Amino acid sequence: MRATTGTTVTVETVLFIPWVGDVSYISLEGATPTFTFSLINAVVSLLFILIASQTNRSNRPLMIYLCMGLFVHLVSSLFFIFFPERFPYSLADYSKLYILQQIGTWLTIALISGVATDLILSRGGYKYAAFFITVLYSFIFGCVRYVVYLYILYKFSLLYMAMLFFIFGVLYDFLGMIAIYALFVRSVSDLMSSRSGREVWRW
Amino acid sequence: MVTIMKTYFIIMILVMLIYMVRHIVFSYNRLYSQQKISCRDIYDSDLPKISVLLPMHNEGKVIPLIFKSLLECEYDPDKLEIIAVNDHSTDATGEIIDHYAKAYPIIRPLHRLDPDQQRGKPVALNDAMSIASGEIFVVFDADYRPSKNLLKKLVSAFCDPIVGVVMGRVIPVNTGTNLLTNLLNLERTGGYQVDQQARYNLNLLPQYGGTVGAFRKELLMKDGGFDEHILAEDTELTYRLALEGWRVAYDNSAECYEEAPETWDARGKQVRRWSRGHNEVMFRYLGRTLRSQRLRFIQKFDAVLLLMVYTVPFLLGLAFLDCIALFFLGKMSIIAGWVFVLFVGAFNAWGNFAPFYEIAAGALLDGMKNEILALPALCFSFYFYMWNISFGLFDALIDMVTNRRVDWIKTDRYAESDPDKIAVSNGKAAEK
Repeated sequence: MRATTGTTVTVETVLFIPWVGDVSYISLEGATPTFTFSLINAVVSLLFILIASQTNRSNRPLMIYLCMGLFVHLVSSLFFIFFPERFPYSLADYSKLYILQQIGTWLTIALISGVATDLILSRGGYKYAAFFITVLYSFIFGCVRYVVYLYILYKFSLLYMAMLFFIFGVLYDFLGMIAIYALFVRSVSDLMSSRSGREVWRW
Repeated sequence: MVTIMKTYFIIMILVMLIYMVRHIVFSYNRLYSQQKISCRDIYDSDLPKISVLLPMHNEGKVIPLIFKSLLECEYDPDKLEIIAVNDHSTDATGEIIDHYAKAYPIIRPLHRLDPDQQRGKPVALNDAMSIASGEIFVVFDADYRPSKNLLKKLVSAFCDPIVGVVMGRVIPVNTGTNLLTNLLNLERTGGYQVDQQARYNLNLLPQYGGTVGAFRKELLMKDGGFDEHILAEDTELTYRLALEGWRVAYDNSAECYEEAPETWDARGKQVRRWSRGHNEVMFRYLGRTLRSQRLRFIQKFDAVLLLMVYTVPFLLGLAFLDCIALFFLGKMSIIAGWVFVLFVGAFNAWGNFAPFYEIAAGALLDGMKNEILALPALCFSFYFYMWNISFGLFDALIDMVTNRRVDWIKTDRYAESDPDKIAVSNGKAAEK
């Protein structure tokens, strides 16, 4: 298959779980950053780290998280400044890693969400609703993100790969899972406060 | 080198999985198993004489609140004394204590003002214990507000002769102030309502937290009191007594209210101090705990996990850096596939979001509603904790290597009372 820009896009397969089957992923070429582009990114990351570490004390946790992201991006920029030819991944590699990671994440989320919801409520519709919404969210979000990230790396630069992988990666699947879980526990709390709910307590 | 990095990564996954399973067990135990209650049902029996110890340094803002709460507590006044220690305060603390002492004879002031004296909570407590006449010592920080029946509940735990120390439950009062105080409320709920109670249920090691707790006089005095060179005298006492064969009890119904830090800076300093003190105790007690003949294997295992709670966040940070290095070395294969599945699962079910299911279980037991919705924000506070806890660990390492003297760093208070006005108004009240 050929994209409109002339880039070759193919669908490759990789073995994930023995006896279960292969996993398919999109393979295409990404844009390698120039020296100037890498340098600008390094300087901007460093500046933002310095600014973020000195300002906004009321939002400390967010600033620390942001600094970690910028640190990863700084390392990535420096890598492309000094050893551009040694960057070990192509966009096809990233695509493969993403898919492997994402399938792992879907399985993990299903497992953790199942255990965590079952722990709070042993039976009832709320539990199943929370579980299925979580799994569905993770699936849709994981797919949309896959396309968006491939587009960013293909259209702009491979320089962003590390940051997308480490900082804007699966954390957000879990963030969604916890948000849905919080709503679920809130509903169960209401249920337990009701007359029928109070009868469920064993002590 | 790469092999070492990969091995470290896998070890950290295992460590996180162990903690994850531990907290699932605690949550399950708290929600579905029979709960062990303290000796509260016999608290009408003849209770011993107790000394309440209040170490204070520049606590003028909050003293009236704790005095008021303590004076309203249900305990035979003939068997109760309150020793208020003014530890080198430069605000109206000393003055306020004196005014209260005049009005209420059960309050005994102790002023530590000699500039050559060592300062800090453990020293202040040791001085207070040397003049105290109670059989049981109960300790509170000045920003705590005990509930009416707290003293009786705590002290009744000593009806069991093998209990050496007992811990009550801490509940923040200023939970609605901002997101931080809401998150601290959630953390406290998970920590006390679930974690401490489950450890007590399972005959593991609940932790004495340095405030809202009580201990037997003779156990401390035979060893010369608290170790004055350590910041976490509470954790040290927990391990010291547990390794001597004493039981640490926890009473979830013995509630005490605290003022949680309202700014991230104050919380950061507090956590860094806790980490420093806790890690000092870890250096000192890890070997002894592992060699202990008095603890069963499972108790020993859990006691080690508890000792490591302020070390693991730093090790996780290191794992994160390890992961980045592996990425640029082209060794991503280790973090794809099943190993990565385990990593992601464990990291998010114990690290990133704390044991969120444990906090949710606690919130549910407490009947919380909208407060639970802040659960996803725990993710970002994890990075904040990782940062500050790591600094605390470095502090502890430097303390150990250089034999540096540890100074007490007080947590900021937020009560709106003006200490000077309080001193004056309380002075008038005392005169009346």
